[in-house]
Amino acid sequence: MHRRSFIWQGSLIVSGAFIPGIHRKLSADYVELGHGNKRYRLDTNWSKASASTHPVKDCHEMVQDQKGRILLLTNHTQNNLLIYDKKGKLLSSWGTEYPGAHGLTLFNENGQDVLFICDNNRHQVIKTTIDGEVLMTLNYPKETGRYQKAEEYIPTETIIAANGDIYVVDGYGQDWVIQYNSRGEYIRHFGGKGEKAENLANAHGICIDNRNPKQPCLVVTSRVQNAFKRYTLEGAYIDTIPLPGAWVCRPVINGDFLYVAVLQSNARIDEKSGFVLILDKNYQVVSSLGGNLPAYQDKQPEEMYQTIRAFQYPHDVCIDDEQNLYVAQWNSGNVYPYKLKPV
Amino acid sequence: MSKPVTLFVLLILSSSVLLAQTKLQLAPPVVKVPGILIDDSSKLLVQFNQPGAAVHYTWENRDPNEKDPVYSAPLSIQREGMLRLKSIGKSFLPSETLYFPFRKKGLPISVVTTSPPNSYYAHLPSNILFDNIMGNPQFRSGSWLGFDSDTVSIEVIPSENVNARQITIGLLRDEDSWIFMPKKISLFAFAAASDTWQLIGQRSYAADSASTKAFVMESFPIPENTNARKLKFVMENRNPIPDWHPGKGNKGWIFVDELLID
Repeated sequence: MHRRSFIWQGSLIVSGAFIPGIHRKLSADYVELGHGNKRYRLDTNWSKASASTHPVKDCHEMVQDQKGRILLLTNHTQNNLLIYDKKGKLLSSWGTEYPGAHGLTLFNENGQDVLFICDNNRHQVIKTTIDGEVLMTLNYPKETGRYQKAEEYIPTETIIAANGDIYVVDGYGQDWVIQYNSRGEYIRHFGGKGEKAENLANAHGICIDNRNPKQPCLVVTSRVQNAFKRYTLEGAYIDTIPLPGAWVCRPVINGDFLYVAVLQSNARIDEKSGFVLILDKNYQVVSSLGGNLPAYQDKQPEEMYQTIRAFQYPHDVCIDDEQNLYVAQWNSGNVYPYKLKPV
Repeated sequence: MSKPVTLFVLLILSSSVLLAQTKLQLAPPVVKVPGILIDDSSKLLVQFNQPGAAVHYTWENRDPNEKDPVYSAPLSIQREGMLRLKSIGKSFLPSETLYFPFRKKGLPISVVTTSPPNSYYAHLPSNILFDNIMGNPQFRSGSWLGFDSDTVSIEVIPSENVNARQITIGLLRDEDSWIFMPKKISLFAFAAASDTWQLIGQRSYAADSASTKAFVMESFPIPENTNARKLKFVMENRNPIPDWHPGKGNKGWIFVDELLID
């Protein structure tokens, strides 16, 4: 941002009664978040895990497996993966070798659930069984010709296509999307840093949008640009979905809707200003959990920002088979995930 | 001697809030204003769209409450003083208060020279500390000069026709980002007759415990018998960072935005 042209947004000095521990004491009976038909009650006490036996650092991502269990990935190496039931009871845990555990994707491979973990510190993507047995490791993609060493590659997320192709986004590295076949053999790469429409800035997340079966596409986060960018499954750029003000993380599609945790807003960087967005089939925001519902003009939403301090730094949303949401948070005082039940 | 102006904010944990833990807290409104140094055209815009809540504001020396005016259109800022804004709604805990200490622009300054800032900030314009743009709360915004040296020196030459009676330095305190108030600020005036720098003001700052993020404007009076053709701040950085802080043992940072002469 050029100094001469800045519009000063937000606080010069903030004071008053923000109480960091307050979220732990809220009950589902009192708090309702969201808009229209997408409103939820917040339960901050969902997790029954004990910090003394099963601690977390950043809670990065969550998925639900075919048994209905909720899986949480944290970068705490005492237990990188926590497995809950939907009521928040901790069932089991595993994982001590993922210090940079960041991205967690579940794929049903011939009837078996498998996981793909992106580790920022190890500069690797690791495919495991649901119980943590390592099946495959993808190292830095020197086949692309874009990387000289592993440290330049900091993968943040994966998505697996129906044919088994693996797409990895290097969201904290060079912002390439790297496509492999199911055996981990390099196919192509696209995106990358730059000024063109097809380039990315902080390609933090990725998913496949199958809502239009005739035209499936990749939805890739360009977080610093407050946008998603769409590509064909072969990597051809389609268009950009602007979401002004919103530092969007991974897009998660469930049914007709796209859910995404917003780490923070441009209006309040480094001030725990996150919220959660829900977009319809046309990528229009229809509900904001803890934020404003933006008006649209010529398909362009107005700036988004936090209005309720329900979350600090939300990092991922998981939607279970009963349409409940689970929100995992980064750098938020080692807080366990929250659950939101539809109203 | 005028009283030094120190704009600090404390975290207030009121008992009424502690009891009301079944409600969520509102976020503060989004405020857009081109800095806190005003001129005839200064306007302040607020964005805050949350059903059941509104933004209240006051120029009085207290927190806004639900009886204060509700923001409904851009505010024309034509006066000096502290504007306070707050999001308030019955079903919520009120937000933190935003403070905007508006004041008129400073008198002209000819030259400001500094000891080298951290290289990340070395490319910023040479007039960055006296361009009458002030108050962006984000230290990465490009409006702040960041220093990580043990001692920071800033020399100021007011314009020819300016009779400087007070100088103000804007500093950021953001301990989460390892940005502290200096351990000590000393202000010197250059005495041409003796060709020496003479100490005309000095203050020390503790960092014994965590403080709320704040923009701090430190004003130093210039004694009447002082020739203020050249002034110099010398600031001592916090090194090492105290033990209570996660960055203990490392060197702290000093961030400066704007020098104002009255």
